Parts: sequence; structure tokens; C-alpha cells
Amino acid sequence: MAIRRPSAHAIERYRSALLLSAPALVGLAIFWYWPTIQAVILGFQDYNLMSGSHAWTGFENYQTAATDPLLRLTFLNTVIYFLMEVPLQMALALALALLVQRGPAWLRTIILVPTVTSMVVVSVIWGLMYHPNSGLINSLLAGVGVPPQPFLTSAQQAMPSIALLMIWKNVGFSMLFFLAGLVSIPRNYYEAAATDGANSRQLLRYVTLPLLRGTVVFLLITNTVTAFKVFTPIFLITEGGPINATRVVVLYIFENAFRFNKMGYAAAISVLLALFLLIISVYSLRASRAR
Amino acid sequence: MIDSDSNLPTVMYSRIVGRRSDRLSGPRRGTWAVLRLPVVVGVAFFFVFPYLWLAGSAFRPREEIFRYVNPVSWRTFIPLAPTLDNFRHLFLERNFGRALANSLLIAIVTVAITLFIGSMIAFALARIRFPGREIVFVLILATILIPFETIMVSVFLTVQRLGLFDTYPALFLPWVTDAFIIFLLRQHFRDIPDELQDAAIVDGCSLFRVYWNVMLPNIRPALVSAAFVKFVFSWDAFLWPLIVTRDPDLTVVQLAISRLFTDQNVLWELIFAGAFIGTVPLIVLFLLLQRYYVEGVVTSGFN
Amino acid sequence: MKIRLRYLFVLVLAFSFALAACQSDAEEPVPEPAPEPAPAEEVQEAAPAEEVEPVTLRFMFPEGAGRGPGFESAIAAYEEMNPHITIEMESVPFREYGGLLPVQFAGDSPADVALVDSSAVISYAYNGAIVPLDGIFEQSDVDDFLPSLVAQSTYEGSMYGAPFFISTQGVFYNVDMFAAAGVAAPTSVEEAWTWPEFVENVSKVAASAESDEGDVWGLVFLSNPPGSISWSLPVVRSNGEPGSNTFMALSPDGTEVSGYLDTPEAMEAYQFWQDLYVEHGLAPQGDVPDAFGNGQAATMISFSAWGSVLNNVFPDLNWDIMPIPYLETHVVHASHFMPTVASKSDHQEEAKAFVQFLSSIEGFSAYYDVTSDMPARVSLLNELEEFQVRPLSIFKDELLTVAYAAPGGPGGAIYAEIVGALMLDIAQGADIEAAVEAAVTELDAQLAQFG
Repeated sequence: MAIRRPSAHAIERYRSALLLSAPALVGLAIFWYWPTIQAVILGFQDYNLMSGSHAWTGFENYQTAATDPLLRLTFLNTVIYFLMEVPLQMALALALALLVQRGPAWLRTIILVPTVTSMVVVSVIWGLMYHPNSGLINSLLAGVGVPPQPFLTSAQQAMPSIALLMIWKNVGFSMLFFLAGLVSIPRNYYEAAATDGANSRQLLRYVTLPLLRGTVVFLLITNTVTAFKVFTPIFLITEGGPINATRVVVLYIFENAFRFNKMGYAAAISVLLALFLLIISVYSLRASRAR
Repeated sequence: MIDSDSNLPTVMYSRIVGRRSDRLSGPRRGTWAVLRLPVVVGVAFFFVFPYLWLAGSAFRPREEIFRYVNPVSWRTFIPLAPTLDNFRHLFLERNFGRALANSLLIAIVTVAITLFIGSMIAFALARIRFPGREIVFVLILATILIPFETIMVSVFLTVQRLGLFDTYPALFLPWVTDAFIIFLLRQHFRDIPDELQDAAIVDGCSLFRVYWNVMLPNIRPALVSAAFVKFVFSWDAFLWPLIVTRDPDLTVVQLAISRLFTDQNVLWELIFAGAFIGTVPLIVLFLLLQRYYVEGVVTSGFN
Repeated sequence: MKIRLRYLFVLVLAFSFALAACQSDAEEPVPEPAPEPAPAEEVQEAAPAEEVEPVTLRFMFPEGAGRGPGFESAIAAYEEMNPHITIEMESVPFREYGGLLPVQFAGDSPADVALVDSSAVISYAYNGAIVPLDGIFEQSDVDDFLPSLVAQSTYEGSMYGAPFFISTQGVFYNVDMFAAAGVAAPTSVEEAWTWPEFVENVSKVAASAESDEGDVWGLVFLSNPPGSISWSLPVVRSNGEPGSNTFMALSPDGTEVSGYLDTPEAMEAYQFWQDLYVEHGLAPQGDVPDAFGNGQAATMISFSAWGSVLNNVFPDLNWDIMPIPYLETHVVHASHFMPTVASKSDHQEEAKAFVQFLSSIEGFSAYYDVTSDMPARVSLLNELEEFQVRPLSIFKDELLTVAYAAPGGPGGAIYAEIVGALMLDIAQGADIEAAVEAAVTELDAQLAQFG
């Protein structure tokens, strides 16, 4: 942007920026910031959801959180889920994007089918496939001589099973974003590199990946946040079991808010979770810019 | 590098065959050409196979649905006595058509507004320098960090107090400002070379014209991804519609499906049929949109 | 194409704003800013026929087979007697009902009358979401109601839920399989099998029924293994003498489970429960939908209305019912949804009057004309014909002799959640000692707030 006469131009610029931002900011204020502020306030209260009665308790909820063994457990479980789901999902998504970019068009659609299938039905189908006594996957394993696995009914295997299911379900979205990134790379970049004698591996390393950085950062942050907020599949499939092995933070928040009627404590945990994610996100954004 | 593929399987086939002849040109390419077909088939199978079971079940009478789950055989997937009764029942007795229409309407409206206001602010954040824009961006990002379950009750109260309880706007208004989408579009706006914008400004375009005429067309693949994801999100929503609507005329697809779990019986045959019809519009939508993934960047007026 | 896409976009946008606008014009927000209700006491009789303010009540309930038509019929009868009252039904998907209730109670205008599961009534009463129904029941009514429902809805001396219908459990069994194996099932509550007898007999049946279609399970539940204490906890309670800590499974004041859920008898019962799944392999550790209907299971423990589902969906199946087995003391759980009145309702008196009607004999009869469910009144249970003959008489006899409320109190929902998960873990092979200890510790910590 060539700036000759700063003041007039600048004011014009600010005005445009404001006008362009206004609708979104109003919406965010009403439906996100206001409720979020209320949640933050709730974190300092002992709040009864049903009667609306509340008492100020200062930092008591946060003190409870600091020593709550269940919170620690659910947080660890969430980290484990994150580590199992996000890296694999991203790598697979990039591989699939590269595959279908050159490959048959129908394959793109097929990879997206799980993303559009209702979670309720997915949980039923995978529940049957994972069945410890008579599931399809165990039938397949038996074919290659592997003894039946307990999957969702075992404290060791439940989380990996859910992570695999969610990779299957979500990888299509990530692939879509990688595809959008790939398609946006101007063709002449490749042509120039190819003229310089780059082979396909070098093209990937020196042209494709650097130009996908925006997409990678976006996916890394959003997938991380989504993984840390995982709730629905666990709520539908294991409800935190067996033996708390899949009890994750947001399930614990949900239980506190709507089952244990401890809305204030639920809000405090949410604030902690949000702060944690905010630090991770801002750090990732910074790191991506530094390079 | 970027093929403009056609959907036709025949073209696909000749392409694979064509690639296979590349084998002579170099060893690495050759390995890939050999592996390619099995990889494609394997990937396709992995993703589509649970869905086949769903699709098959949609056409089964109830007593057949779970009968052949174990041991697995062809009967697990192919209905022995195919029937359209499930669909007939859904549409004639459960007003599923209305639910489909509502979901479609709400999804279209949600997507349109989300993309419009989201792309405007994303453009401002990516391409206009103004004081505090980093802070605004982080504030927007922050909204995706709070689990919705935590603020659900507050949002519900807000909607009630705005007088929107049990209305169409309650179903989409809270969702049209989407930080994910703003974030995505901002990343893509940032990747556009500065030269384009500078040229337009030198030509005397206002910033709004730059946004509308120059920048938007350049991030079309991202807009399409965003539209698709938002559409799916809106289509899948059901906890929120459950909370803010009671009027049967406002029922959406996922709510109609969840009504099939009663306390006495789970109407599996209708659930599979409903889930099957529920995915068809999305698949069609994607088939319509997918050409935007193969076109490549429109403008190459820079070098 | 570029241009067309963008114009389409604008068009949709304009259209959506138009839609939003005309919607809010057309439909006034539902919570009508009601004129303050007349001083509540003299609503019904005091006002003479002239000028009765019309009142609309919202009535929310979880969807269930025939429940809509049943309530429609009851409401029609009520509206005919009370022309100034209009009752709007709001039927909510069953699976989401428990989650929706707290949210709608937290809102500004919850439904005036809502069905609440009997196990949660006291907890909503404790939290102030619903009002006591004092004065709408005569002593003769209370004596007629099933004691387990009265117990589950009474908090600090007042009833908060109105007994309306009831549900209990029985063992549905495949008559052909039993006949083929030469096993005769008990035909009355007195003859009920103990759990060891059940395991022995049903194992025989399941073994003889093996087919090429695959294994036949001895026992399945509605979902497998069951996550709700309605199904699993009676096994544990039945290992204690009536009135013992094991039998009560929760301290009388509802604040403690150590010494109740971890007695030697209880530990023995957990082991038995696990053996059912692991040792005997009688029941599946993951869900097998429709197994009983499809002839893939010899028996199924389900609730009283399940018979009509089987008749509808699997008309060819030849089934019968036997009573629930037990270890030492025969016990089954009995519960159901109960109508309650919201404390935020603007029309509490009218709402109470409607609830009173529902739980009256006329109210249930209007419902029963259309939809068969078991009544919450002993007099009706003894009167309505279908419950006097087998197989349904088994349920009636269970209700009148061995049915108890699930342990509850203000922390009932938390109790149900944690104990339900414990039983599920045990069925799936968890280390019993460790799992029980963890559950008891967590539950004691949670229940302390109600002390």
C-alpha cells in the first residue's frame, strides 16, 4: 500500500477497516463475548444453574481446580487424545490432499463422506465394528491370526480407538483445507522451479510446503483446539469409561455444569482451558511468523 | 502438476493406464505408478465402507438390520428384502421433508452470512493496517477456545431475551460469526501477493472494491472450503436447535433423527434411512463445489 | 461465473435478512409478557363463570411410543372441563431430555409443567427448580400411589412430583429356545430364580441354541452392558438383607456411600456381575442391538412396555416373561417420569390443577384409553384387566411386592451417573477393588455438598 499523505489516507483506511469489521464484531459481542464474560464471572461464584442463586467465592473454584485429581486426570487424557489424533490426522490429510489432487475426482468425495455422516450413526457403526466379542475388526484380525482385541471396553485401547475413529471422521476437512492451499499456489511457481530442474520431491520441499505454511498454521491451531475440546464422540460412545480412561476435560466440564450442578466450577475449568489454548495458539502464530 | 480432472471414471482409468506407461521414464515414478491403484482403492475402501453398511441398512426392514452383522458376509451389506418403507414412513408420517427443507434453508442462510461478514473482517485483518489489529485478531481467535457447553446457557438466555426463542433467526444468528472461518480466510488473504492490491489501489479502487473485486475471487478455493465446512456444521447442529426450538415446524434434520430414539425403542431402520437421506444433500453439494479445487488460481497477473 | 457466484451470494443474503425480518414480525416471542396472574388462592371455584382470564400452559415431556396421543387425549378431557385453559404440548427427543431439562429450568420461561424422571425429582426440588405440590393430593391419593414413587418425589415432607405412570423390569425369554433345551422358566414372582439358578439354566439354553448364524447370548439388556443403575444395581442390592447397608446402597441422609457400596456382600455381588460377563461369557461386553428380537439371545432384561415393542417389530418371536432373579433378597427398581410444576411458571396454580388432574383416576384413564402404560395407582393396577393375566401380571406382582425406588435424594443424579459407570466398568472386566474404591471416593466427595 503506497502511502503518500499519511493522515488522510490513514483515516480513510481506518474507516474502511471499521466498516468491514463491524458486522462480525457486533455478532461476536452479542453471542460470544457477552456470554464469555458471564462465564468468567461465574468462575468466581458458587452458582446454582436451576435456581439462579449464587454466592461470591473469590478464587475458591480455582483453588479447587489446582488440587482436583480428576481435573488432572481428565487433562492428561485430553493431552493423550491430542497426541494421538492431531499429528496423524494432519500428516494423513496432507498425504491424501496430494493424492487426490492428482488422482480421481470421486476419491475426494469419498474421503469427505465420513465428515458428513451424523456422529450418532457413526458411533453406532463403529461400536459394532469395534465389538469386543463379535466385531468386524476382530473378524478381520482373526483372519491374520491376531486374537480378539477389547478395543472400546479396555482402558488401554479405548482412547486410541476413539482417536482412530475421529481421524477417519475428520481427516476429510483437513484434506479440504490442504487442497484449497495447494490450489492457491500459483502454477508459475512450479513452472519456474521445474525449469530450474527441480524434481518432484524438491518441488514438495521447496515450493509446496513453504507456500502451505498459512494453511498448516491454521490447521495446526484449529485441530489442536478441536482436539482439546473433544466431547461429542466420547459423550456418545464411552461416556468417559472404561475406568475414566476417556474422561476428557470438556466432558468433566459438562458433568460439573449439568450433572453435578457446579456451574461455577465448570466455568473456572473452562477459563483455565481457554487460557491454556490461548497461550498455545499465540505461541504457534508467533513461531510461524518468526521463520 | 495441477490436473484439471474430470469426474468420468473412464478418463480416470486411461489416466492411470497412461501413468503406468511413465514407469519407463524413471524408477521412482514407476514404483508409484504400480502402487497407485492399490493405494487409491485401499483409501476409498477405508473411507466408504462403514457408509456402505449405513446405506444398505437404510433399505432394510427392521428385523433384518442387525441380523447379519455377525459373522460378516455379503449379507451384512446388501439388503435381502430391500424396501422403501423406511423412507415412506419418514416422509409421510414424520414430516421429514419439512425438516430437510428447514435444515437446507438454515444452512444456506448461515453459510451466506458467515462468509460475507467473515470475509470482510478477515480482509480488514489481513490487508489493512490499523492500530490494534493484532489484538482484535487474538480476541476473535479467543472465541474458539471456550467450549460451547460452558456458555450455552448464557447464549440461550440472550436468545430468549432478544425474543428469538422458537424462531428461525435463533437457529442461525448465533452461528454467523465464526472465528474459524475468519481465521481461515485471513490466512488466505495474507498469502495473496501485495502487488495485486497495490496495483488496484493505484488504479483508484476503494478498499471495499479491492476486497470485493480483486481479493475475493483470489481466495475462492478457501471460500468454497469454508462454505462446505460451515454447511456441514450447520447441517449437523442439533444440541442448539433442541434448546431453542419447540415448534414442530422448526424441526431440523438432526432433531428429527434424534426423535427416533424413544425411551421404549430405538427406531434403527428409520435412523439409518434418515441418516442416509441426511447425507445425500451434502454429497451433492460437494460434487457441485469440487470443481473449484481443480481450477487453480484465477489471476496470474503477477510474476 | 465469477460474477454469477457473487450475485447469488448477495441474493441469498438479502433473502435471509428478509426471512429474519418477517419471522420476527409474524411470530411474537413465545414467552408472552403475561399479565400478572390473579391472586392465586381462589383460582378455581372463587371466580364465577363470567370473565375467566384464559391461560395457556406449556407441557413438556420426552417423546415415547404413544405418549403424544395419550397426553393429547388427557389434555382434551381436561380442556373440556376447563374451557379457559389451553395446554400446549412440547415433546422433546427422549435421549436429549435429561440434558435439556437443566438448561430449560435455567432459562427465563421454562415449560409450566414438565415430566421429570422420578430419580431426579428430589434433586430438582433441592435446587429450587420445581415447586412442592402441597394440597393437591388427599391422604387417600397418597395411600393409593405406589410407595416407590411417593418415596422418590418426597423432599422435606412435601411431594414435588405427581405419580402418573410406572415402569419396572422383567426377564423376557425366548420360549422356543427354552423348550428346545427342556428348561422350564418360573411363572410367578414367588418362584423367581436366584441368579446362580438363572446362570445355570440359561447357560444350558444358550448352549443348546448355538446355530450357524453365530453365537447365542444367554442374556442381553436394552444396551450392553447396561450403563443405567436401573438394570445393574438391583443385582448388588439383592445381596443384602432388607434394610441392611448393602440393600440401601446409600446412607439414609443421602450423603455417603462408603460402608454401603463397599460392604463384603456388595463386593461379592460385583464379582458375580463381572463373572456374568467374563467368567460365564453369558452377556456381551459391547452392544448387540436387537439380539433378542433376532433370536441371538435367549433372554433379555427389559422394562414392562417392551412386550408391545416386541410384538410390533418382531411379531414372529415367541416370548414370555419371568421375574427378575436375585441373590439373597428379591428386589427390582421401579420408576418413571412424573409431572412437576416449574417454580418460574407464571401460572403455578393452574399448572398444579392440571397436574392434579393427570394423577387422578380420570386423568390416567383418559390417557390409558389411547396408550397402554402401567398406572402409578395400586387401585388401577388391581383393576385394569391386562395386568391381571400373564405375562403382564408378573410386572404387577413385582410392583406390589418387591419393587423399590433406586437410591436417590438430592444427589440422585450424581449417584446414578457414577454408580452406573462403575457397574459398566466391572462388566467390562475392570479390577473390582480399585474401581469400587475410586467410585466410592469420588461419590463421597460429591455427595458431601448435600450434608
